[in-house]
Amino acid sequence: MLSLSNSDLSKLGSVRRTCLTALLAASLFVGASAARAADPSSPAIQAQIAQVEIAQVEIAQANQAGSEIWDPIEPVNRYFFEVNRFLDEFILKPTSAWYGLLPQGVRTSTGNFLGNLRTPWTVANDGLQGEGTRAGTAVARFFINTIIGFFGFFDPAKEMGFAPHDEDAGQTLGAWGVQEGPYLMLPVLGSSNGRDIVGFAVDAFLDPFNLLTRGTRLDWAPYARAGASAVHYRDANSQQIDDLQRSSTDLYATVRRVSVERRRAEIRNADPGSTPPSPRMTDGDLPGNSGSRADAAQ
Amino acid sequence: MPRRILLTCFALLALALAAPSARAQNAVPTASQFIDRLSQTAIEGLTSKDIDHDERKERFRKIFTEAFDVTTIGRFALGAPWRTASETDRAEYLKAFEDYIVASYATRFADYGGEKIVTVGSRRGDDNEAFVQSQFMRAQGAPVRVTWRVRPNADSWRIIDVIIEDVSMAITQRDDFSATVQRNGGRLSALIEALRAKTAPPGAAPAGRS
Repeated sequence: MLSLSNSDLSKLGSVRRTCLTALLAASLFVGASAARAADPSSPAIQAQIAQVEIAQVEIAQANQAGSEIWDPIEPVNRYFFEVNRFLDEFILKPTSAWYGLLPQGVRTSTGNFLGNLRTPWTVANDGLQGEGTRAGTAVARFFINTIIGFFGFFDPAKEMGFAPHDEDAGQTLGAWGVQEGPYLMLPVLGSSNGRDIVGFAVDAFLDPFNLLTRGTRLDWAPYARAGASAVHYRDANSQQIDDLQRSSTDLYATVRRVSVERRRAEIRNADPGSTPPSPRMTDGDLPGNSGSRADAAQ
Repeated sequence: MPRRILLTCFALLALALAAPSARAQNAVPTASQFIDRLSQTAIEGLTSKDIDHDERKERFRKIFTEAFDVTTIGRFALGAPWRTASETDRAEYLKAFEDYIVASYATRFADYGGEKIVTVGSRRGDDNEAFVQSQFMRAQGAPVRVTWRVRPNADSWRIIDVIIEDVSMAITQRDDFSATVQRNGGRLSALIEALRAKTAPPGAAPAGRS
C-alpha cells in the first residue's frame, strides 16, 4: 500500500536517459563498496574488516525506525514532487478513476496478470540474494499461475500457500549491503534514491519480460506494462493517497518517510510475525525540559 | 482504643479478602484483549448512520483520548521544538494535535463498510510494552498488517504508536510536523495554525497547499 511511486511505475521514462543518470549515480555510489583487496590474512586487514562489519551493523540499526533520511537536494526534489503531483492530478488520477469503474474482479485479475509478468525477474533477484526458499516459491507461483491461472489472470498459487512477493535489482543491491545514497524524487517515476536508480536501470535491461520483447514487434509492451501498472496501483491505493493528501501538513515530508520505510521493509524481507520498527519513546528519549537523548540526536 | 484497632484490622482483612475477587472480575486485559475491545467499542459506537457529524466526533474523541497516550505521541511528533516551547504553547499544541486527529479520523467511521480488525498475536517489547499484531480486513483488497504498540497504564493499556505495513505513524507524523515547523522559520505557531486549518470542516478550510 501507499506506493505513490516505486519500481511499479517503471519504464515510463526513456531507457536511454535513465541509463545516463544511472551511470552517473553508479559512479558516485558503487565506489563505496570497493574497499576490499590486499592480503586478507594480515591482522591489520582483519581488524579493518571487523570495523567495517561493526560499522555495517550500526548503519543497519541507523536504517531502522525513524532514522534521518539523507535528502541533500531537497529543493530540487520538492520541485519535481510538485511536477509529479500536477501530472497525477491531471493524468494519472483521472485515468485510474475511470479504471476504478471496472468491476473489482477485473481489476484484481489485472493486478494478478501484472504481478505474474514480474515474477521471473523476482526469481532471478531471489537467487542473487541467496534466498533459495523464496526463489522456489516464486518459481512455483509462476508455473501454477501461468498454466492453471490462465496466463496469470488468476492466482491459484496463493490458495495453495505460495504467498506473493516482489523483488527487483534495487532490493538485491540493498540486500548486498549497498547503502541508499541520497533520497531522490524523480520526475514521473517518483520516490527513489541513489541505489534504486541503479537498480532501476538494471531492471529495465535485464527483466526477462523486457529482454524478450526488446527488438521485436512487441517492443512497446514494457511501456504498456508500466502505464498499466501505474494506473492499477494508483487505483488500488487511491484511498490511502487521498487520506495522506488530506491529513498531511507537509505532503512531501510524509510521502518521503512512507516510501523510504516501505522500501526498507521490502529489503529486510522481515517475517510478518516479527516486531515492526517503532521509535524509542521512553521518557528520556522524548524531548523534555532539559537536554535529553532525543534532543542530542537532533 | 483497642476496639478501634480491632475494627480497623477487620476492615483491612475484609478488604484484603475482597480485593482479589474484585480484581479477578475486573482483570487487567491482555494487550490483545485491549485492542479487540477497542475495535469493538469503536465499531459499535462510531459507525451508526443515525448519529450526526458532531456526535460522532465527540464519541471518537472520548475513545481516542482514553485509548491513546496523546501527550506522549504529541511530544514525540513535535520533537525538538517541544523543549523550547512554553507551557501555554505546549498545551495549545496538544489541543490542536488532538483536534486534528479527531477531525482526520472520526469521519472515516461514517462510511464504514464492514472493515474489521482481527488480532493475530502479540509480542513483548521493552519496558513491559507490547506490540499487538492485527490484520485490518478491508471490504475489498488484501488485508493490511497493522501493529499496535501499547504501554501499560493503570489497569489497562494505552497506544503509543500504530505501525501500518512497517510504517510507524509516530515517525511519519514527526517528519510531517517537523517539516512544517522548519519551513516556517522554526515557529511552533505555524504548525498549530496548519493543524487548525486541517481541523476545519471541508469547505471552511482556507485554500492552500494540502
